[in-house]
Amino acid sequence: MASVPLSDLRARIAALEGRARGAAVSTSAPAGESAAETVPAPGASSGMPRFDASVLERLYPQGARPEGTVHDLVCAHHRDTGALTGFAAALIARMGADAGPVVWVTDAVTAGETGGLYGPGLAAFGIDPARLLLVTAKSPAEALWAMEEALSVPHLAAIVGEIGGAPRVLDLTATRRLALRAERRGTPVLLLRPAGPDTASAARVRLTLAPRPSGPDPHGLAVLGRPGFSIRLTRNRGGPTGAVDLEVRPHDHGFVPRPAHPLPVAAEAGDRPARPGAAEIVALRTAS
Amino acid sequence: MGAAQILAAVDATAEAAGLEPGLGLAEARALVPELVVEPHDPQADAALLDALATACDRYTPLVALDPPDGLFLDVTGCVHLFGGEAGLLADLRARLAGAGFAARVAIAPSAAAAWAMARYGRADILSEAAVADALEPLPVEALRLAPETAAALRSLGLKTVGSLAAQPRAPLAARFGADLLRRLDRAYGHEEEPITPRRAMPLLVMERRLAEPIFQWDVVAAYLARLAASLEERLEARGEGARRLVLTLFHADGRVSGTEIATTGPVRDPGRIAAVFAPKLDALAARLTIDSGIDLIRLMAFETAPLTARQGDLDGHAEAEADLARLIDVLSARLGAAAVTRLVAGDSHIPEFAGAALPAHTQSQGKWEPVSGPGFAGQESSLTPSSLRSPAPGGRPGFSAAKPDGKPQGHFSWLCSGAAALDLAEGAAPYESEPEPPERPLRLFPRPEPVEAVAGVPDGPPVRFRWRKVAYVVARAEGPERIAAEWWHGGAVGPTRDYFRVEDTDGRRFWLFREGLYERETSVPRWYLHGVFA
Repeated sequence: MASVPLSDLRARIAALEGRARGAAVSTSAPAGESAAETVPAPGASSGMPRFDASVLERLYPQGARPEGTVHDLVCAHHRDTGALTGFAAALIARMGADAGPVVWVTDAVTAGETGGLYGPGLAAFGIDPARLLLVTAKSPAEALWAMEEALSVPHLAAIVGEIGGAPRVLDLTATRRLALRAERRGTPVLLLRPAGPDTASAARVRLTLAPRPSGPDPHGLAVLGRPGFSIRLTRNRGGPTGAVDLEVRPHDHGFVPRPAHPLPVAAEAGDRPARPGAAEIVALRTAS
Repeated sequence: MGAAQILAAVDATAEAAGLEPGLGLAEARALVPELVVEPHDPQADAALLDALATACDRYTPLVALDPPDGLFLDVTGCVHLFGGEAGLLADLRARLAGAGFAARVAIAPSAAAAWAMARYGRADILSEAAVADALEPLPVEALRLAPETAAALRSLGLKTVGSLAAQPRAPLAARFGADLLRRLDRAYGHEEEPITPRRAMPLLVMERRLAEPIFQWDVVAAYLARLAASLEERLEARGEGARRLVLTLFHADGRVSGTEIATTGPVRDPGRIAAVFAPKLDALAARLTIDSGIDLIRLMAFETAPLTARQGDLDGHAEAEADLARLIDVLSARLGAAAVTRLVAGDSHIPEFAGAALPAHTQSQGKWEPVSGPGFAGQESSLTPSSLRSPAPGGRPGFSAAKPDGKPQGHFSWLCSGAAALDLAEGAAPYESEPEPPERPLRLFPRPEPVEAVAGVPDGPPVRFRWRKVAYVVARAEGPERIAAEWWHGGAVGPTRDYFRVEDTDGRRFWLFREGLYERETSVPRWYLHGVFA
């Protein structure tokens, strides 16, 4: 019952922000090529579509840059940074090889906790390591400075900033500065926050990530499956929020929804594009 | 003799008392009982001379040392900046005297004549025409001769440069060698004498002398911007951009400070040059005071490279490259070149050498060309079919990765691009199965981290392990992938590593290896965590 006035409010906010009601979830500017693969938001008529993997597909379209703003990617522990790195890498890979160079800033804490980016691993993930410019900052303040400098450069595919823990310099003001510059420049900033707190941030989009164990192997072997993630979208201005478990297909970086209950047929779904119809059948787990 | 102490140098008072270098210390003490002596420290003298030379950089970039106590300054083309030769000499003398040095200075058309005049002559500025007359009365020692040569000439009655120059050349050469004639010719300016400047000669020099010394760093930055603007004109005329620039600040008290930048690509935009220098100036300002003021600012280009005027580029690619190069310069200047890197494929299958991060400003953006090792090359081939067609040149000598455990054979083609072509030819159908998840981690520790691990069987994957005080239970594992040391490189051969990709119960994925072949290389294998997967 309470969701009706809430969705009305959201629609009004979207209208105030100059978005069309139907396009409220599609925050990416070039909707053309990516929209062909994804279907219109289900339930667009009610003003508030339900949440599933297709929301993420529209936030991070294939072959295009996501919205030029700050995207918070948070994980609970430093030991989960692998998942954080992997999802950020998947987002970059989804933009396509022609999206431009990527500036990847790492602060000393994160580098010490999880090591440095590894070229062969990135290549295996579908990212040409030569596209990356790596910056190692001695302090969070230095990392923020480097990110702001990078925001003065046009034509970047994305700027990734890894700042571990909850440093005081990374407050609301700092993220607002970043967000303003990112929006002016139109460059997406992926702010990776290992062991990051749930503090105030000016990010328009906030994802909390955790690794997701592999699903059952079709051949019954205890082998590693596709990289899997448990994702909670806790902030998505103008769009729905929610939680979803998904895997990333290695060859095209497609998001494959993972069923909450492992079914033998689940692996077959990977060969088809994620259709909302299919998503309904496999009953996505939606956390609060 | 060895223990005898002699005077190395004397000051004016001692000289007046009849002491001279070379005199024994005991003898000197007998002559002047109140003699004050200091131990001779040639290194300190050399350092002092070097510091003086640095201070003299303000007059010309061409300063050469003439140890132990002399300096050559090539002031060709510089004197007008000081109001002529007399002005330069006066300025130099005043500064040296102000710093407490007694000095003799002379300007002459050749280095040898200047040396002779400074040490033996009276006139301090010699014109071309006056050289012969001025040299004539000087003793032959003024030609910088070896002491025995000078003594031999004196014994022949040839005491002055003039009397020597009047002699027929052939007998002189026969008796004393060609060197004597060369010294004579150099003194008279018949032969060019190159001096050896202590610093490399800059290609372009822009400088600004300030009648009123400046005391503020932002004023320094403003002058730097103006120098950069005049440098731009000169660079444009040459069709070049600067790659290495040195900024030198001459303090009124004789100190010299400075900083230098190296850029990724040639630059001549003054705004960009100023931007790259800005953090360097900040660093200087943090550790340096300019209380005495700065009275000369010099900007020198030591390396340049052709730079064509930017042309309209339809896809903006060149522009993007230039923008990125600018960013690299700014970041490298503040964070250090080692902090701004690009990943470069290494020619090794030892994981830590297969990918290295090298300073970005030393390389232009290239293509990632992995060697055809096991693992990642296969995954990449699924994305870029070209790597299937052309395995990396040469292949690998002694391919040393093995995958003993049971994987469907169709997968093997994805492990090695070299083998993939073979499999396809035999009609295997690797395309039917989806590519495996990446076999190389996204992040790698530069040094593998030791972990305590427990394996179910000695050769098998770990069942659980403890890393950084946290226990992990392994739910799934793949491996081993055996990576042996590169014995063909010689030298110390490390133990073989068996790598496992493991997933813990929460879904975290790690790259672990066991060092040493069980029962062959070691009885107590050690475990390491080397990387982190998505």
